[in-house]
Amino acid sequence: MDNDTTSRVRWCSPDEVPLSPWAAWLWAVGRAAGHSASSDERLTIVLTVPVRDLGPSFLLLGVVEALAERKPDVVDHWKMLTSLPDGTWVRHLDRGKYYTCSTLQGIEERNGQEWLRLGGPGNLRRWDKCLDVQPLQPGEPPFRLRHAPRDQAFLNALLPEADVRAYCASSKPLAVTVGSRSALLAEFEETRISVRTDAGGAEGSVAEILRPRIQPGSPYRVDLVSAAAEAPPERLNEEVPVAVFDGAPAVLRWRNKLSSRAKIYLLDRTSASYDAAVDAVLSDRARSIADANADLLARPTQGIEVMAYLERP
Amino acid sequence: MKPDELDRLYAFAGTPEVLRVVVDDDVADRFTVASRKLEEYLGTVADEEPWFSCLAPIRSTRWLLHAIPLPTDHPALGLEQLLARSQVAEGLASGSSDELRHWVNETLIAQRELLDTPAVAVPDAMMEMLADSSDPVAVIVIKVAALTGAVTNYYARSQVPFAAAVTPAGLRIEAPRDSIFVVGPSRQYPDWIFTAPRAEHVTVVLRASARDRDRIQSRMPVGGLPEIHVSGQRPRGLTTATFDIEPPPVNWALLRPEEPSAGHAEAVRARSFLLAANHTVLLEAEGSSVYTVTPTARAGDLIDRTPSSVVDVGDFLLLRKEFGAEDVIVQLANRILGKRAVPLRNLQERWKSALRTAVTRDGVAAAEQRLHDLGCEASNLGRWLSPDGIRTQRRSDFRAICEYASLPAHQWDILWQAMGEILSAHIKAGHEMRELLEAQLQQVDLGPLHETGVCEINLEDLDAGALVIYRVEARDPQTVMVHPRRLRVVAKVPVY
Repeated sequence: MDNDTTSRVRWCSPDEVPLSPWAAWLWAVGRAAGHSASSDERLTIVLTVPVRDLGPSFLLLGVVEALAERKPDVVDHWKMLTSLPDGTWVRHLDRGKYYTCSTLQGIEERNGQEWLRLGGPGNLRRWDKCLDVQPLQPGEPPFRLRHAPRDQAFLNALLPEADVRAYCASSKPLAVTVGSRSALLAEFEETRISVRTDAGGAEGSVAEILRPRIQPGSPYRVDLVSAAAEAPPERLNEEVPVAVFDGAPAVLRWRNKLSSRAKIYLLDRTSASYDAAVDAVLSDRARSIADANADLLARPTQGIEVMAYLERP
Repeated sequence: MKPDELDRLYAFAGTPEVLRVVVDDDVADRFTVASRKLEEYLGTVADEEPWFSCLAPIRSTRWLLHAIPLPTDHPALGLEQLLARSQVAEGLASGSSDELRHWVNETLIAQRELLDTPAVAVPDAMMEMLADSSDPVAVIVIKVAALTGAVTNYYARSQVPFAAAVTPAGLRIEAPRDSIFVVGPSRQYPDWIFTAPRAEHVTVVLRASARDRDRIQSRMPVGGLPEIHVSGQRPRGLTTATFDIEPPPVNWALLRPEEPSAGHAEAVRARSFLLAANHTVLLEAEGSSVYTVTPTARAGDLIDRTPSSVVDVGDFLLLRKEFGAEDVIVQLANRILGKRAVPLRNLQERWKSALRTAVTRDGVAAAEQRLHDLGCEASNLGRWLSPDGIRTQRRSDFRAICEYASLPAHQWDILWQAMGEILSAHIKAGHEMRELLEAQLQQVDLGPLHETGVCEINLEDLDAGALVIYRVEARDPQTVMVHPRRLRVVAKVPVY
């Protein structure tokens, strides 16, 4: 999605008010952090805001937009599938309502067309109808059935370049956010936005896009960790591309416990531990390689302060 | 907050507008000048006994005069009682130099006059400004939490457009509005009142004898907001001198415990805190965390763990009535560990006491260097020495500590596994306690906490006795070495 994505987004209200400049800017910062997650150096973005409410939501929307799986080309995707050895576990749609896992069982030729044979309920798929067939991520265990989102119009509208089916089926986190789990979950559930499209529009909650981790076993794309927890859960031993630290306590206690490629510190200037968090961040910056001078970061929107620096991996 | 309210807060922060209004009030300014001259004459003696205690009611009077917009004879200020306590100065000054007796007399005469001819210029000016603002939800921000009720009642009776008097902590959760009035020098308030304002117009109401800053800078060396200028200068014609106005200082020398004898192996570095309702507590200076409560936070966000090194004035600490809240976690964790608790705790004490002995022998700097030489990547000796620290994050660091502490090599892995068991139990206990506390706090009216600074909570499910939330009123700038037994024990202190 390009830079004017946010111009199509509205607050869900009777008069469909366009997204506020601060929200659009935080979205763009999240997107920039997502794009930087593939670079060699680690990027840290420090934001100070007058209020943290909804900040994590918009930052994470940007991250997800940048990192969500892209729609593959049908031919390229078929080539990728045929390059996988037989017996490889894949996930795919089942009856349009569920995701399930099967193993690859080879290629068959019928009526001059190539077909993919899947073990289990997948059976045969013609080569150009296989976009939903995705290999599992390394270490991801096969599962039997998961509900597929019934209505993907909202996801498709907001992430038009993403392979929404792959995005929903995967449990590979794109971001982790540290803060108050319950408050963040409530914010994601309660914040509703709408998107204008050529076909009209769609609306939904931020949670429908972010797919936060609510309980073990459910697919998720954004992990949540309580800032009050003693130590990172084991699942975070695997590096997550972007980490968002919501509030000074999260920054003070957690910034060195996660090794994401891009980190965003969201500091509320009204917090009692704001000064301590700034001291800590400035000390980190003093040890960094250099300040990051991305264009976007040089032009913060009203009331937001931004500082960014690069660290060695 | 709703999106339109958030829009306003971002807009206010983008172009903050801070105006200063200076109020001239002869009696109040004369008292300020005389009391400051008295302190200047005394010099460093003013911060030593017996003058320190003698000046306490005088300094309190001056602080209230500048920080609270009430007539000086308002009973809530208690200036009459403070005047009575200030009379000690006459006795102390007798037989001293003429100049000292002159400033004592001037101070006491002006202090008496505050009651005989009440100073009302600030409350009168405030009424006028509230009327002019026409904002029915305008708020007055004051620093003294205990007087928010009295100030609210005073202005509510006068029919001017006005919502309430709040402290900065209370203001934080207020919806955006047109006007707020900040009473007293801006430097006494957190910067966010001006850099993340809750109103379009922020007015600082200052007495003519108070000195204040003209600009407020961002803490960010790059990418920060432009400097905020406090507009509105002292009107011409005001002849009084200006002085820094501060809250009365705390006599830490009286509150700070005596250090144990040098070389005490178990001593830990600690800092004293003065809590609401004249209580004190000692917390680890670093390497540990305490439960804090944010009464203004959303449900689910009320309880937090804050590093004890960053606990500051205005924070709310959750402490056990007789011991620290951390002891509840230990108690709960021990319950989870069952019969394993005693042997595991003995193992915890084994590596800690071995480490303490080694650090006492070598000194902290040498110990840190030796640990580094042994391959220890982390540098957190304070935490490892603290009774709260269970084990290091990295196994290799823990082995380095064991080696440095001369523990037999065959015990290192046993200790690591054992500490892992304790850690798991602590994590489980922490979750359990947090959930119970959150549930309990959501049922308690935390509103009065801002005014009183104290709130007691009973957690019957935990059989942990009463827990008390205390507001931190002052933080000792110095640290001392104390025995761990003295940490987190709340004690009552004499009235300040």
